[in-house]
Amino acid sequence: MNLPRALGATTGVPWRPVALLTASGVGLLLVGAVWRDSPVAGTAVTVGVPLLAAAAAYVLDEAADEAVAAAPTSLRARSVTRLVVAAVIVGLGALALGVVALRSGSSAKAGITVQLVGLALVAVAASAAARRRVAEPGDAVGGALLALVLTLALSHPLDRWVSLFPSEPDLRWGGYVALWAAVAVASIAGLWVATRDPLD
Amino acid sequence: MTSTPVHALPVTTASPARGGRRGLFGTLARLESLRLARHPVLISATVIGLIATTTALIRSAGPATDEAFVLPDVASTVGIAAMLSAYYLTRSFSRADELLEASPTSSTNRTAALCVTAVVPALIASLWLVIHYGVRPAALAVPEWMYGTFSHADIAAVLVGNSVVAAVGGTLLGVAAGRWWGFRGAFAVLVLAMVVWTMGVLGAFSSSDTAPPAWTRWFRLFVPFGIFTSAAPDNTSVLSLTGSPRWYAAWLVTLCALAAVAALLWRSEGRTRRRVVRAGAVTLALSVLTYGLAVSGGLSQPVRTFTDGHSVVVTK
Repeated sequence: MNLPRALGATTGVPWRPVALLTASGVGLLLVGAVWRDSPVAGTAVTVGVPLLAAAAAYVLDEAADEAVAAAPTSLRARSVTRLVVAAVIVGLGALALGVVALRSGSSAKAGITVQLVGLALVAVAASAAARRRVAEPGDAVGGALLALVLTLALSHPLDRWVSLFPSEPDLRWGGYVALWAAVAVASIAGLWVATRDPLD
Repeated sequence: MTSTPVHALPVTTASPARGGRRGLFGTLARLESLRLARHPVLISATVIGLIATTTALIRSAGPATDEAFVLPDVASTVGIAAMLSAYYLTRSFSRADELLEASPTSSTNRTAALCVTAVVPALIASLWLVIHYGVRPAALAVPEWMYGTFSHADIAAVLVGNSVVAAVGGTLLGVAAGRWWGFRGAFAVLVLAMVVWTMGVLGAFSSSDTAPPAWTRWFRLFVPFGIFTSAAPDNTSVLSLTGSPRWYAAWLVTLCALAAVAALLWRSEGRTRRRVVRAGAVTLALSVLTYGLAVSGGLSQPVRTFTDGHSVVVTK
C-alpha cells in the first residue's frame, strides 16, 4: 500500500510529535483513571488535557506549504481535511476522560471534555493564524498553549470569578461551560477567518 | 533553500567595539536577555503569576500561609514559562546552524550567553521577594508561632529557593534541553518530565499517610520545589516538616549549576570541554553532598505547633 496516497491530504501532518503528545496525553488520563484515589490523579488529568490540545496544534503544519499552495484546492478544504486528525485526537481524549469518569464514579470528570474541546479549538485556530507567517507553527503554538494552561491551572488566578478547570460536581459548572463555549465559538470564528485563501 | 531566522543576524554580525571577546560575550548576553524579556510566554506567565498572588493575598481571611511560607506562584508561572521561553530561544537558532558556525563566536560562548539570560527570570522572580519583604502586605503578617520550629532565615531560604532559584533553574534547563533535544514536541517532554518529577513526587510523598515515613523523608525533598511547613486549613496549627531548608536551597543551586554544565557541554571541544566536565563532576559531588545534608539535617520527625506555642512531635 502506498502510505502517502492512503493518507491523502493528511500526509504532511508531522505524525511523530502528534503521536508523542497524543500518547502522552491519553497515557496521563489513563494514569488518572487507574490510580483514581491517589493525589497524582488530579495532576495527571490537569496535564493530560493540554497535552492533547498541544497535539492538535500540529495538525495544520505543512513543511512543503509553498508546493501545496500551488495545488488546485482551497486552503479551507485542505484545513478541513487536517481537522479530521484533530477530531480523532479529541475523540481519543474524550474516551479516556470517559474511562476516568467511570472509574472515579464522578460524571463531573467527563465534563472536562468541554475544556478539551475548547483547548483543541484554540490550538488549531492559533495554528491556522500563525501558519500565515510560519509553515510549521505546531511547536510554538503547542508549547505556548501548554505553558499558558499549566500556569493557569497551577496558580488559579481567576478562581475568584470563574472555575477554569473544575473537576468536582459542587464547583461552578455553569460559568465553566459558558466560558469554554465562548472560547470555542471565538476559536471557530478565528479558524474560519484564518483558513480563508489569501487571494479571496 | 533554508531561510535564516532574523534573530540569528544580530548574533552573527555583532562586533565588539571595545573589550575583544569579553565585549562580544557581553553583547551576545545582552541581546539574548532582551529577547527572553520580550518573549510573550514569559510576559503572559508573569502577569498571570502577579494576578494569582494578588488575588490570594486579597482573598485570604487570615494569614496567607502558602504565600508566606511556600510562594507557590513563582515556580508555577515564571519558572515554567522561563523554561519554555529559554527552550524556544535556544531552538530559534537551529535553522541558522551553518551560518552561526561561521561566526567568530564559539558554540560554548553562545550557550554561555544564553545561560546568562537566566538573570531576566531571576529579576522577575525577585519581584515576589520585594512584595514579601519590602511591601509586606497585611496577609503576609504571620504570627511567630506559625513559623513552628523554623527560623525566619530558614523560611527565607525556602522562599528564595522557590522563586529566584526556581526561575534560574527553569531557564538553564530550557537552554540545556534546547541544545540537546532537536526533535519536534521536545517542549512537551520537558514540561512532562518537570511536572511528573515535581507534582508526582510531591503528591505521592507530601503526606505521611500515603507513604512510609522513611520514604517520605528521602523522596519529599527530591523535587525542585520545597515545602517545609503545612498549616491546618483553619490556621489552628502548623506542621514543620523534616529536613534542612538551608541545605535544600544549596542543593537547588547545585541543580541549576548542573543544568548549566549540561548546556555548556553541547559541542564543546578540547580544553573547554575538559574544564566543563571537571566543573560538572565537582558540581555533581556537591549536589549529592548537599542533598544528603538537606535530608539528614534539620528535623528528623515532623513537629506540629499550636497557637499557644506548644509543639508535639508527630511520629506517624
